[in-house]
Amino acid sequence: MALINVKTKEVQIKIVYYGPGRGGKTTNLEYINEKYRDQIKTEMVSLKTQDDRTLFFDFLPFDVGQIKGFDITIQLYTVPGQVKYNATRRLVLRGVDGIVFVADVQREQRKKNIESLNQLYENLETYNLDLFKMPVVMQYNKIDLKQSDIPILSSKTMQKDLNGILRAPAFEASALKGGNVIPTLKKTISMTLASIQDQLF
Amino acid sequence: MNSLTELKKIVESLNENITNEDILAFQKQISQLGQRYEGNPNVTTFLKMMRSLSKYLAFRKNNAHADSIPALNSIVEQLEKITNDSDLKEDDANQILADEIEKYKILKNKIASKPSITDSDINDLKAVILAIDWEISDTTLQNFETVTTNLLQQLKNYKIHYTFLKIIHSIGRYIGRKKANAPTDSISILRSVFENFEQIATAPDMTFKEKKQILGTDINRFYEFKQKIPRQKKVAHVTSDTSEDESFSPALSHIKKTSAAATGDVVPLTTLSEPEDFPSGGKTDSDTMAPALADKKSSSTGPRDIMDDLFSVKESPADELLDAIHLQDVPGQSQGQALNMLNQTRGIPSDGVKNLTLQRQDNEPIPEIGNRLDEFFNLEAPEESPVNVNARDAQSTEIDSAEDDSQANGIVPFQPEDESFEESPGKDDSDPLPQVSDVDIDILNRLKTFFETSESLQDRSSLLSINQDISLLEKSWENDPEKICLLQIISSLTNLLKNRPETALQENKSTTNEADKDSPDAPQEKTVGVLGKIKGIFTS
Repeated sequence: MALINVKTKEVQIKIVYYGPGRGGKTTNLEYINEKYRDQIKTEMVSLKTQDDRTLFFDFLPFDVGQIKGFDITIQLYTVPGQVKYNATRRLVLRGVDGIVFVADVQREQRKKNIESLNQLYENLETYNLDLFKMPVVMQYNKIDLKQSDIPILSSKTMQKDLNGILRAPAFEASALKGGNVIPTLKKTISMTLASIQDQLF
Repeated sequence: MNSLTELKKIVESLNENITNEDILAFQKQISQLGQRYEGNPNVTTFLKMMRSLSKYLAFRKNNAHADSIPALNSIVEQLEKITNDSDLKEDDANQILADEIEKYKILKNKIASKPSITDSDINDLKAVILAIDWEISDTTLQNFETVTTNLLQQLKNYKIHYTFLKIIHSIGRYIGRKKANAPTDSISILRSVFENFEQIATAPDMTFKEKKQILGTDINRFYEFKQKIPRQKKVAHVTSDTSEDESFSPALSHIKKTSAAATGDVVPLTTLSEPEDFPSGGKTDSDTMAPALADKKSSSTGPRDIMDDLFSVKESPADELLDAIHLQDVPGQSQGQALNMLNQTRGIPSDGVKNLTLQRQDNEPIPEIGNRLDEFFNLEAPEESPVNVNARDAQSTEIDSAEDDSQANGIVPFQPEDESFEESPGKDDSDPLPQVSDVDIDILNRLKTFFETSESLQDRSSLLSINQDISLLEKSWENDPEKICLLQIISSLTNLLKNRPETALQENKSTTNEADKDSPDAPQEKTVGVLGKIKGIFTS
């Protein structure tokens, strides 16, 4: 739910990185936070377990500047990927404006990707939101693992598994190295802002 | 020596050591007394209690409850009293019997609930279970194993407690083996069994029957849980061994079916090419960059650990969300209340503020959005000319077809650092575009040439070719009403030209020549306008 203050000309957008556990959601945010430290200015909030799993969520707010006189604030969130934290995932999704679905290309994660996307649909339904009508971008992360001879799924399979029905823009990515992290984010922000531009700008 | 005297002697020896011989001798004396006092209900009840206790002692021997031998002593003494005292009134005898029955019941309850389990034991077990719930790590699993094994050893003689612990131990071990792959409800079942165990262990007044009932429920849940495991095991096995070609139900297939999914049609994908394929020239920032997390730990600008700030004044949306998450875990609070809290903090009415639930519009973002984001992320601004976009699309289609499987689906190549990417502007659309085949592109180029050359418009055979090309495009685009409409407009204009008399064509030629003199670009602008619309379809 985008917050728009027409008086002060401020717009606040909430983007949630969703996906199976250990897929690279937090790494996406860490890369953005690290790479654009000077522009972002605010601090990233993160709460992890001892072995680096997201316990509740990560939070990274930043202002991208003005578009047609409106100050645009982006709030990036991640959800905890572990299966047992679905209640927390649902809470983080409240008021979401745009979604980045971070899938793991490792072959052994194939089923978990599908389950996670199905669960995302159900979780959004609890807020009367339709995944098919939301700005969504798919990210197939860890594509660099093929260089380490770790079995990974082809992008064609990823597309069929996850995007055959949703048909959202999709990016291969290597969040650890920063590959396609920013294009994914830019695409998500663009789609999200484009969906309100007629009412706003 | 009568049987009672003999009984007393055996009980005395049981005080020192419980042996099978003593127990057998004790049971033999009980049988003899039973025969002698067959018609005496009071004595029969006494003997029944003694027989039951002898069975218990035979089973537990020296591990028997400390009160069991004194209780047996008391029963034997009272039995002696009611059998030897001929002056004892019936009411007194009944009272003695009632008192002994009461003592016997107390002992029975003690035996059922006595386990010497301390609060510290319970707390230790609780701690290791909560630790697993929090995080499944080698340390938490090892602690769990240590605590449960000790308790199992300690409570092995207490059937109910022992069974509870066995269930807890089994589930915990299973979670340890499966870790994140354990079924979602594993930990909730573990916690639930522990809560019941805690309840029976800390409630001395609870009857044996009640404890047995609680245990029965948990045993049933455990068997249900176990029944689910083999199925999941089988599925997991299949998954790990499957090749990529194995068909999986795609995500959301239970929600929607599309013909595109059935035919294997896929949407555009931005790929990441191999590092050695990176184009090094023309990039704004192609310097080697440290991996995203290389100096994360030493960085002072890294993520904030909010554990330290839990009690600070709440001011950011993250703090509010964290509060809501905590609230949902508070017993008695529902998630709905947690959500209400979020609603209250986020939905405070303020002058000029409105909440907007976004719906994907599938529209092109205004240029200012892209420009602002490019500036913010230090990205090169892509060229927005629709003609260039078409040219790039055509180029990328050719390149893609020569490349690997994944790139054939419209994938933009991998580059390790995002600033070295240049998103293909043609792919920067909010919705996947229909693919334009090479054949269509050829036809469009041919049409373009026809319309750009004034001679072609005067040649009837060329006009016929134009109509044929338009028919081919109509067939190819039959599912796209907008394109069909534009094609029909072009077709009508072409037919108009074709049906005009020769003179008119000549007049037109002279007029065109005249017009060319005055305004050389005028006729070209007209045809470009129609083509522009066609191009617009591909670029919008």
